[in-house]
Amino acid sequence: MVPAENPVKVALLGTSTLELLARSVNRALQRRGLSAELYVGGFSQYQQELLSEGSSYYRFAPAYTFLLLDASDLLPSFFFEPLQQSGEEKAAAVAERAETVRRLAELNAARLPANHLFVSLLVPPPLTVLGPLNWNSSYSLHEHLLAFNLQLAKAQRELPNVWLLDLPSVALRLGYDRWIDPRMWYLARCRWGEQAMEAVASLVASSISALRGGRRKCLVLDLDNTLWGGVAGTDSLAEMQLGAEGMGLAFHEFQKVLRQLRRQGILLAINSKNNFDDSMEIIEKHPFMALRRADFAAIRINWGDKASNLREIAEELGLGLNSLVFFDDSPFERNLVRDQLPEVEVVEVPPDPVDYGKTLLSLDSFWTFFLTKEDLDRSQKYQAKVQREQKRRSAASLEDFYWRLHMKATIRPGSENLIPRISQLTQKTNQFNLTTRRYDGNQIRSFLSDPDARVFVLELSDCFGNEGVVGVAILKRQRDDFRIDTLLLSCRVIGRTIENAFVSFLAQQAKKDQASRLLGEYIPTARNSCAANLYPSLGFSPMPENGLWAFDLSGGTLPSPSWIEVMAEE
Amino acid sequence: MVDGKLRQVFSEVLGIPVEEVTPEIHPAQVERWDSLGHLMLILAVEKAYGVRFRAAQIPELKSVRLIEAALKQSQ
Repeated sequence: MVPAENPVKVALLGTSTLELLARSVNRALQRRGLSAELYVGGFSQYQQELLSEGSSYYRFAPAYTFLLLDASDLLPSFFFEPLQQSGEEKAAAVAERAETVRRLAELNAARLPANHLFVSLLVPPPLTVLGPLNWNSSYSLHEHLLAFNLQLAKAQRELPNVWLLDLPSVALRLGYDRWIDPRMWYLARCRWGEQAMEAVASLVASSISALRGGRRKCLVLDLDNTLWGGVAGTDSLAEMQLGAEGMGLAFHEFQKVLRQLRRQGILLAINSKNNFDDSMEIIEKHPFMALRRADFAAIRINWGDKASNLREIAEELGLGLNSLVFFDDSPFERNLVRDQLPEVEVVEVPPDPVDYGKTLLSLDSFWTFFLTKEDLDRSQKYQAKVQREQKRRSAASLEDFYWRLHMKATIRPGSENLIPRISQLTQKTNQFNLTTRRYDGNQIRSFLSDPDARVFVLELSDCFGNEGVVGVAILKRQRDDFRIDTLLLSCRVIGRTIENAFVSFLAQQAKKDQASRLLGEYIPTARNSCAANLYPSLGFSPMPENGLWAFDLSGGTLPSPSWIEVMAEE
Repeated sequence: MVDGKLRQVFSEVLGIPVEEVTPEIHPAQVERWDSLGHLMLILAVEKAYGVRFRAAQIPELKSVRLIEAALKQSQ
């Protein structure tokens, strides 16, 4: 961060009263260690100020200018008389305004070549007099407000030192009822509520800070209960909360956020109090790690103190301590680091891991307005390392993933004691359910005693443990064929090719029962599209006469995936 | 005597020492107590006391006494 000996010159221009915002901006800049000299534009004077060469704005010569446009001020007729203008007229009004803003930006750049101009995107108000006609008629307001924003974006791509200020995202986070306070408009012609001004001021200060090189370069992470739920060495690989559902999914998705940061050129490092080998085992072997060893630029896993580790990490990476951000779930460790290394930014990690991702994304410490070649190179250097290590593994890394799950499927015929579970699965399973037929206990019981029906359950165990009964199949004899009346899998086990193993088993059974064909049926619902392609993908042929799918059992068997061990029990 | 919390709010928003916040002070005497400053003052009072005044009320609350009365009413 470039230390400010002289105050930073910031100008606020716009369509409404800006004085109140100016006070918030001053405070926000001070919080970031910057002193500022502010120029506050006159009420709705931005055009005059930018057009007139000798204006007090140009004499002030700001380094950063924020042009804050409000939709209601820019296009008032849109909101008070939307039916008076056709779609074409609205489009023309928008194009004219956008072109004006662009011209002003060009003039500003010509007269203040070193100035950075931020133009705010319009916030479409959620309540308009049009109601649903807003998006369902040619009088739509939002369509045209968004068109304005898109035209601004186009200008941004083409003009250097012009940036867009994402006010819609600020408003969305706050909620519109906190974004505007009608009293502020009627009493002071100010378009923002108090909390909105704080948020906008924060955005202004963060943007200035980022442009001045305030970006931190390295995120240092704890491991246990930060990257995964549980403690390496204490909890087994299978017990770790890191997976496709629930808390495990929360940690997995947090890792994916981290991976995206890395791709933007932020270095990741580990600072963990545990045994190196136990922790590495998880990093290298757990199927749901989104980050692997090569993603980390520096690793300190030991029983020493975390502040010393951070000093070492900074030195190893050639960074100052003020370039580090520390993310650790332990309040004790956070306080220790805050105390001993005040230059390191210590994230106030929330108590619930489901909020980790949001907390990280809320930081402005990693903000940048452009990706430099160096950023992408930094990211690619580590990426190449990862790719080299992965080349040894097969091109079908998805198969590698399946192998690591160590899946064992036990398929057995239905029985009296399984009736409740079978019935429950037919009632509750919506996604991987080919026909969505709902059966109660009595109906299942009648299938069990029907000589022309077959009921099977599939029980799964994998590296996470025993999942219990997760699949049900019900076959019904139809002359020489067996039709799959019901085939379903619990959503916990979707996407692991278990259905392939199940259908392969059913084909074997049908063949043993002297059937000539196995028939499949798919009844589409709003929820089960994930199962739509099952039968065609397994080589079943379509039967146009009845919409079913047929597999000829005389032609051979259906292959079962080799990464699933299937045991058939009588 | 003016409530301590209210004195603190006045002091912070108007940039005057706490001791100067008396029941008699008036916008004309305080540099920052212009119409915008007044709005900021009332918003800060709202936040400190967890109340919300109607738009029409706000410009009328031009003294410590009037604000205290309005706060009492909203209880």
